[in-house]
Amino acid sequence: MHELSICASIVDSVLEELKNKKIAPNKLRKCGIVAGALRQIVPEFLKDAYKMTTNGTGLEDSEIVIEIAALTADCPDCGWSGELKELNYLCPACDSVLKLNNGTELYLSDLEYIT
Amino acid sequence: MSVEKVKVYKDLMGENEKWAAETRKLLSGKNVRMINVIGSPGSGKTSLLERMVRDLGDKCAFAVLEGDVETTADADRIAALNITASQLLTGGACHLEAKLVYYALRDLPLDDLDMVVVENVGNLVCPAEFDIGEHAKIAVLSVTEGEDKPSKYPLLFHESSAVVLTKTDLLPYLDFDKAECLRHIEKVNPNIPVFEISSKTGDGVENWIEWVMSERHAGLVRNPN
Repeated sequence: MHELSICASIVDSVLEELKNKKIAPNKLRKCGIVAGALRQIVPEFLKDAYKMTTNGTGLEDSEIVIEIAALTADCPDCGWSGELKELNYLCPACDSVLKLNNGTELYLSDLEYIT
Repeated sequence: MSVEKVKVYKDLMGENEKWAAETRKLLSGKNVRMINVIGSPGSGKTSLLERMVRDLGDKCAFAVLEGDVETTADADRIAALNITASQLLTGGACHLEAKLVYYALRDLPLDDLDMVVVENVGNLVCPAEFDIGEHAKIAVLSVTEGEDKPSKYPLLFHESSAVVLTKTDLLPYLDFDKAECLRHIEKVNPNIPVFEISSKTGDGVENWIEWVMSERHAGLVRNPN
């Protein structure tokens, strides 16, 4: 259940951003986050955790939209480049060690609100 | 009424990262190295620490932080060996976070220590997500857990600096395919060192201790006091 800890961080970040932008929490409709595939986030758990964590914060009318960012890599030896369905550092074409591009990111990407 | 959308790009692990950075600052100021030991419940983490206390005790002054959901049983096991051990109870949470570790470290006699070993909550998923300010994560995998765990829980093995394969004394009784397991580890972390040990018989412990000591000295100048 690391989703609950991560959600506490999401709610803090959202409230801080809204405050900086002088937007009332109850105006928020959607908050978008991007999670790399390696983060092992279960979107359904994160949505439930968001409902629990936002209770009493003014963010109750908003929903969380989660985008899972694919794990992509390049091969420095043969030039292979593509998406990995699972973490495998060995190039599918030549077995050399791949260079990962992303997959561990976790950030708040956008806020959608009514004016 | 209209709907507007703004782009943000804000790192969500920021608060934890902040405490992790504070922890690294605290440790480097005191010349103390910290390792974060992560593995499943029952993978042999506490037995490994008991073995380390026995074999490393006189070469290196260290303290242990035990992370658990409930009970002080593990800290009691380590304290029985005359090593400073603190229990960090997460009260339900499945991993340790940097802030809790920071405050626990401040209660340790860091001036008298060379190393702090943190035994994280038994779990292969969540502890890998949270930087606690350690210098190295260590993945503990027992031969009774199956060869494919590194591929099933890739983040931990990806983030770790070493793998300790425990309970090797049981290999004659199992169908465990070690080469296959090493292949799974290589897939997620191609150059990671793997130490095959038995905490029960002591087999392989020497190599592990040697690595821990070299890790202890990596990047550190011993405090002249």
